[in-house]
Amino acid sequence: MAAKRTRRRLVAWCSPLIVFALIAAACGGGNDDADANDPQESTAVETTETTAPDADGDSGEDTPSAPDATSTPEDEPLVAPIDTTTTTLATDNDADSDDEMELQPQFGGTLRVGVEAEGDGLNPAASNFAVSAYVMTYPIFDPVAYWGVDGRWTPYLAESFTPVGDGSSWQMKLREGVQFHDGTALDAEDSIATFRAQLADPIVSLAVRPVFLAENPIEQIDDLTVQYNLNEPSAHFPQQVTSQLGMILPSEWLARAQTDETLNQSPVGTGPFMIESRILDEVTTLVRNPNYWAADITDIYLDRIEIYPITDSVIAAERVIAGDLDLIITSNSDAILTLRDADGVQTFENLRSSEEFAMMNTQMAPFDDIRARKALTFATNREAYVPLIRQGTAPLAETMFHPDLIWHNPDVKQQTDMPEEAAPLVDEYCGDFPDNCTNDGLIKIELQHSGPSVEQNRIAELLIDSWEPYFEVEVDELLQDDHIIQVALGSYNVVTWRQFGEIDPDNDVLWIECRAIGIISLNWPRHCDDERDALLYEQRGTDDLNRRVEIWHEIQQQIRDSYTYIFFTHANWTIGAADNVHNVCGQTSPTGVELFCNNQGRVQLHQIWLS
Amino acid sequence: MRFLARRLLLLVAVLLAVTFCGFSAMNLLGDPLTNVVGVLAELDCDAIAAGTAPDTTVDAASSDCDTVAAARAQYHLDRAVPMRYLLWLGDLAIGDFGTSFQNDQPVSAVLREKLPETLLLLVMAQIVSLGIAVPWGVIAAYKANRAFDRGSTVASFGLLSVPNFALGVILLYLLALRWQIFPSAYESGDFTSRLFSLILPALTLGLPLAASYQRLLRTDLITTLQEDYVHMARAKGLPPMRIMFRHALRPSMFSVVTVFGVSTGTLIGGSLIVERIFGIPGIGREIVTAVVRDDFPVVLAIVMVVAIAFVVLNFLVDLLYSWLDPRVRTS
Amino acid sequence: MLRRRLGISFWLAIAWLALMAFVALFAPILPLTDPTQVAFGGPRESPSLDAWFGTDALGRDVFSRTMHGARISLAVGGFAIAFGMLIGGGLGILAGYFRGLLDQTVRFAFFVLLSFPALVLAILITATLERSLLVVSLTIGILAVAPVGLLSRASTLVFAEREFVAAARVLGARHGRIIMRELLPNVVIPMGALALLGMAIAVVAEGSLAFLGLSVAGDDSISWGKMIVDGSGLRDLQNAAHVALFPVLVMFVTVLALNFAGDRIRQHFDVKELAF
Repeated sequence: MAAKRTRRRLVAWCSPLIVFALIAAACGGGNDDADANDPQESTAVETTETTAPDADGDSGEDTPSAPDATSTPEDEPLVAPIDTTTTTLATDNDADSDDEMELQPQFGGTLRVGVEAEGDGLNPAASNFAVSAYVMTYPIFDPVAYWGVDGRWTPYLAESFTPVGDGSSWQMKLREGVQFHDGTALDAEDSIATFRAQLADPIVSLAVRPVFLAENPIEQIDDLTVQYNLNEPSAHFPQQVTSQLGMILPSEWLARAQTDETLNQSPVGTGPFMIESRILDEVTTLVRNPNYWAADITDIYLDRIEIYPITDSVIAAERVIAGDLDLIITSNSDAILTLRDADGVQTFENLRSSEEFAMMNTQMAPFDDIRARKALTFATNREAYVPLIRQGTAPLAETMFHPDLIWHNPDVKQQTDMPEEAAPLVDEYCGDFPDNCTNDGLIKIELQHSGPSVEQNRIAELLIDSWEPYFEVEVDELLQDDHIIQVALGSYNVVTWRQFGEIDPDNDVLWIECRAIGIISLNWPRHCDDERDALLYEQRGTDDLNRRVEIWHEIQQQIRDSYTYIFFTHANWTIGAADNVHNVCGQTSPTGVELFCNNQGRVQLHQIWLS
Repeated sequence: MRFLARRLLLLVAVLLAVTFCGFSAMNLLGDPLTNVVGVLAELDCDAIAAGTAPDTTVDAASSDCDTVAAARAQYHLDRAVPMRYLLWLGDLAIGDFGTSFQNDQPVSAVLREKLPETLLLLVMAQIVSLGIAVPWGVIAAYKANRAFDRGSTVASFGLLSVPNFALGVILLYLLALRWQIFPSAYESGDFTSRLFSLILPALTLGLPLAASYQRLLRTDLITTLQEDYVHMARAKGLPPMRIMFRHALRPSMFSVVTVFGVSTGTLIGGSLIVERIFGIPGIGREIVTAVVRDDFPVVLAIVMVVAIAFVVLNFLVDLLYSWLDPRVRTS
Repeated sequence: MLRRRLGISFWLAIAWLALMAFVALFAPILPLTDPTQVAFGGPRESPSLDAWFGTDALGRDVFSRTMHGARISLAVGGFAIAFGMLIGGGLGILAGYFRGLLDQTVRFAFFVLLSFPALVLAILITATLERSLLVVSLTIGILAVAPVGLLSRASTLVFAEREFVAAARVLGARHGRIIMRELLPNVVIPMGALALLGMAIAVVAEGSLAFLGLSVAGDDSISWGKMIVDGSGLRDLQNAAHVALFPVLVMFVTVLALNFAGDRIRQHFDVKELAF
């Protein structure tokens, strides 16, 4: 039985190419230095306000993050706040501030949410989560750790994390007295059982294996404490368990799920909401958990959350405007523009997560030759991408980091839109490898993309228009599943893709390290650079922010010089919500830390309230 | 009785052939193992078992090969296609449609959820088209060859020439976005809001159908109006509309009834498009998704259901037809 | 005589079709702008003297694209119906002439084909195979086989009973000769009258496949269906409806002309309606 899921799962995460990043379990703390310069951090929506009960900063907080926090040189936040452009209806305009002041959080109500796709399975130990699966499952599970608004990890379901020695091992202590929805108590055994299930899963494990020791990756210390043993020392390991890898299932439930796959649709967690019903491709309904363990520290206002997969995001946006939905999450340019134009809708745009790019397979001709890769890069018309494909909703990308982020290296520029430089390289290449070229001296390549998709077709047509003078391009439009499989197996020339954008880039290491190259490869371009790997692991082992920034600057340089990716834009993940939806951003952890909001579209819904 | 038995036999044979063709096509055109286990299908498990495979950290271990082996066994992939088909039929006989590759749901559950939406849509489309076609056809026949009739011929040609995806897009634009009379997408929720949100899709499907019904009805009505009993009724001084509806309409519905079966087939095709435009969670949208994702248990089940419906419907129409016209039985 | 009976509107329809056929054949050498040239104008510009139908999302000339789009749309329509007539018509004649087991087998096969909902069959094929012009044409052609076949079988049955066929048989003519000399001209020519109606259906079928993203793939494969899909996102419809509406209009007029001319020819030869 298990067999069947496998492919779907690989696909599931790959598929929304988008999503990729997640599995890695990683979520890292992306940062930007620049919160100060961020002009737009405008307004209001900032729900910082009222909502949260003042979290009693409980004890747990300090201890665990200590190693982290201390080493950070400045106090500046690592991550810039999300832009919140508030297009308003009466309310906000009137007076944001007053308004928010006056409004008391209200209990009750149903939040209706639109997501771009169905999450195929909701079992964090067996399904690979894309954005929609995260939106559905964060309220069901409390991840053991999560991102603070400053881009640093903070304990959530776990009480504390403590490094052992140089950080090659980390101990995680769970909270006492936490109950699952089915009434059983959370303990270390559940955590271990979940981890082992993830490691045993053929696809989920692809992303797990590189991080942990093959032998004895996890061990139990006491009833509530487990120890993770890592391949490389890490100074910020808890980042890795902010994603689905940090969601814990009851061990007894896991045993049942082994034989009954339908359970994948109705997982049991410890979170403030429980699954009430789920009709695939139609609606998933969550109801409030009456026995939520953190009920006295975190106010939960909503009675129900209904999540609708709506493939056409513009329709979803129209429905928010019409009042048929309360909140949607989208990265579609048309939908974002529709939301921006509308009255009575607030938008939370995050331009700093995930990049759109083309990438080349360095283990297959012609792109095994750097001259061909360079020529393709030079020939690319990137300038047209932002206005024509993204309609200005997303900014041009030079590297995998948005310029607002401290990691960004301003000296690294993509060498595109210089076709004249491509010509001599193509001539030279075709001189050496006439078999890979046409008689007129064009390099023969295949551009593979997923489909059917109007947008993907447009991107392909735009790219080919600029490549045509130097390359003979054949288009291979594959169904999304096959597309991902071909890329994972390394049987492609050049593809369009979306990835990166973790809050902390350490969680993106998976896509570039040599270890991730194999028959099935997560390092899709299959470009291995041992020097780069050394740098990657060095930054993993240190919390010296200056050093880490220096290393990432160098890595960006190396990535550019390897000519494996052609970055187009920083994707824009937007949350659009009706004006009566409050506390989208500004939610807090059980220890009172303000949480990061809209991490690549992943948003926590459970502390929202409606007026 | 013998006639009935022969027809039933034919029906079963057609269904077997349809499913066999579908089953073979999906098995031969796509790679079922890849459909089930994805990339793992590419693993060289023999080499891994023998320990000769290149080893890499992220790569599959022997547990993945167990997964592959389990999949092979579960779907009988070591057997020949005809044998696999028989096994599939066996499962079907005990009511087991299999499990979706996509989300581990039993296919029967998928059908149970999606079928009612499509049925509702088809019924509404037929109602809409008849509701439009009958008065339209009657008036056209009544005013045969006058300006209205000629205009309506042009109009029906026009409607028959608009592809339904274009009609859907145009109606969506005008009635949902521009004038905001109808919702732009399917609304789940209570029955009335569902019905209301299905009006626009039903109109998209029903309008061209109304045009073709209207043309049939008009022709038949004109013929009927030449009949003696109609002349007689007219001579008796009955009002023309009464003659139309009370005397002429019923005998003139014959052609419309006979194409009813065929038109349902057309509507099912149209529902693939329309359900997509309006986001209706029916089998039309489901099968497009399933085809695109190679989820072949779902595809086969839907093809099967649709074929059954189509064949049975035409069978019933034939029965009705032969009952009305005994000559058909002998041929 | 013929002219009077077919009427002026028939000739208007034929003139439009001839124009489209001409454009389709000669699009590459006509003085049109390059239909794949990105940023010919700004994105989504309204119709102007430079770009008669405006520009699309990538700033390409919609007029030039619409004209080039006639190539694939009409080619698919033409190939498909030719294939349907060749295979379906041929099988139908053989079945109708020889009767017996062959007839039963062929009819059964037609019935099975008809029992697949047409579009489902088409997406099954195009989703799994490489979507070249040939594959898409053949796929739609297969859809035409059964209805055309049933029709040609039926009219073969009628003609096979006629005196001239019986006479030929009595005179000892071979089957092949009877089929080629007597049946083919009498069955296929009237069926040819239905070719235009069939082509209308095939053009729409190509558009439907394109709408589902399953028509001819490749960056230089412009078809009306693809253009319509490209322009019919909700936001595009609201702000730049011309991108979708011009190809819709041209496709509509073409299908209308095919239907109209086809129907006139059908009436002229008194052939029964073609039912898909």
